[in-house]
Amino acid sequence: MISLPYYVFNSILLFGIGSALLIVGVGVLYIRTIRKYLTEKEKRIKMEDNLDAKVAERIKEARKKSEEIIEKAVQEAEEITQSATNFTQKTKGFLEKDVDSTSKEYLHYYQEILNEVGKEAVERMDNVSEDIKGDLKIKVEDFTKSLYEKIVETHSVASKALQDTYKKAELEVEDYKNKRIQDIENSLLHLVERIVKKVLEREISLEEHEKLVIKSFEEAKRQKMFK
Amino acid sequence: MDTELTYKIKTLEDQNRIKNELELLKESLFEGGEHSFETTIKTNVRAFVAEIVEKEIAGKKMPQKEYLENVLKEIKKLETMKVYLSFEPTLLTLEKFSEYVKTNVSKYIVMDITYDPSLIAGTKIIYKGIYKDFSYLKLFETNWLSNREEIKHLIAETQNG
Repeated sequence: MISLPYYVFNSILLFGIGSALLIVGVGVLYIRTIRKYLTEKEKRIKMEDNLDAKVAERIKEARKKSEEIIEKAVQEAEEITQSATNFTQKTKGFLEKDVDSTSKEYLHYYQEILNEVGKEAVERMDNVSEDIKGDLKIKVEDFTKSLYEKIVETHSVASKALQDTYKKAELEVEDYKNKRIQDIENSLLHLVERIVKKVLEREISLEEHEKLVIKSFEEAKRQKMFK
Repeated sequence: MDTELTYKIKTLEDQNRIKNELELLKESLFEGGEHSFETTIKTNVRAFVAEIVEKEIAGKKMPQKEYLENVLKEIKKLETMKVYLSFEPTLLTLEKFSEYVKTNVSKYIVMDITYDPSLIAGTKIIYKGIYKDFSYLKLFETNWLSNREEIKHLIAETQNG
């Protein structure tokens, strides 16, 4: 059997006793807590029951009061509505009259203003018209002058161009005419030449041909071709 | 050697033909039978040629071969004169031209005739490299060109009525 040292044994003993005391303490505390809880719960249930009764009574009273208030409010509202209607009708009458008279006044006033503005506008427009007329007249005169100058210039240029073209065309026509005359003359000469040749060929007899050839031989001899 | 055949040759064509006949006769000297000289001169040579050849061989008393060689040599020596004509000549015309040339120019000249109708009349001659134009074409063109303005004037007058 193992023998423990004395101080270890004391320590274990002290630890055991401490633990036991702690457990007992905890148990006692638990029991007390449970009891307190149950007591409190019972009290609360009772309080709640009392509270419910009070609340219900209060709600009832409040409902009653509120109904009274609502009824009173409705009554007052009806009175207010009635008086408001009366006021509105009166006010409407007054307003209609006021609006009508004011409108007429304003209409008259605006009419006058409009007439004045109209007169002034017409006067101004007349002045503007006169100014525009003056400007326009000057511009039209300038434009007319410029246009006239341009027309004169264009006419001069066109006239010169036309004259040049006409002269050129005349020269071309003249050249063409001369060329054609030349062609015709050449054709005629060629034709006459051919006719003359043909006539000569046909008109010369064999005897004349022979004589002409002999004459050629004589001429060749005279020119000492056969020396 | 002088031979009558020279006078008979008027044109280049005549020259070639007579030359061929003489060469044929020369070749026949070495043949016999139907190709003999006697047969050839009667059958393959024109009568006037045969007549002149026989007459000259007999007259000159020359061997046939020598005669033929001399005559051929003479004929080949003939000078050609090129003649352009505007018409196609008859045989008689050619004889007239040849007679004139052989009498007035030289008997050793033979004409080479060319037909050119554009000449109108007259002739153009080329002899020993010299060219002469005696045609009426040339005369016509010369006169035509010189009188061209006058002719144009005449044409214009005719056109204007």
